[in-house]
Amino acid sequence: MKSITLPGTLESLKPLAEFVHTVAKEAGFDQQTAYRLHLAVDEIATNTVMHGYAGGQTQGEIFLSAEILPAQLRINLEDSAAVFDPTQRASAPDLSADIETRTIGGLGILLAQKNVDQFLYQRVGDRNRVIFVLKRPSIQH
Amino acid sequence: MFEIHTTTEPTHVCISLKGELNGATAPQFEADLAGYLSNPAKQWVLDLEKLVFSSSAGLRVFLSYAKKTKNAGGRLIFCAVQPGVMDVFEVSGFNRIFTIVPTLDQARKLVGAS
Repeated sequence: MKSITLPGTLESLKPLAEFVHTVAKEAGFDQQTAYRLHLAVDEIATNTVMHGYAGGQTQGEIFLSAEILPAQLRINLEDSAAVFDPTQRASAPDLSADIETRTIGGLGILLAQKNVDQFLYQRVGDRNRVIFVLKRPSIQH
Repeated sequence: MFEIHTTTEPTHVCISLKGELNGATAPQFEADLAGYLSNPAKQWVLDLEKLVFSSSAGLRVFLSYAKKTKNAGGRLIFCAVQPGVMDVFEVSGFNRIFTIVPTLDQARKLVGAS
């Protein structure tokens, strides 16, 4: 299990990306899949900073850990912000609206969900934990 | 890392993006884009050939600019969108509301550049 603790600010998105790409590579994913996972984790971390930690104004941290299991890669993102379960998030914006009527925003959680195989939430003590799961490519010879 | 490089021609402004757009890099990008909105040619090309990543923070800026350029009576064209970013556009439905062409050459043709 690898882990890293980052300050709850937007500047942490860069080391977060490096962490995700490193473990994705170790787990045998290609770069395209690594970017999808990076996107999912980035979206939730950005949400944590912007909403959970008031754009970085509130002191807080982002705790990332990764487990490479035989069949899957799991990344856990934890924060100590107020209870928030992104898997219960209400609907996405109307994706068929035209430019004039299309609302700005509301896409982050949708993108997080769409880019991993499983997107789970747990409340653990005083922390929110979001779990991102990707099935590992099977090794065939 | 995120950089923008802009060239202004009589027919249009070409804004080339490089790197990764996320919550940390999108605000400066939005501020930079705002500076080109008053360009009299009213045609903008966003060249995404070297943009390898965009989160929803980047999408927000793209959509906002698409609205502003449309309100200004102008035209915004995206070109050379890479597969990862195109995936994000598709999930978001942006591929249906934006004008997107495969190459910068095609974008230049559309705006009538010489």
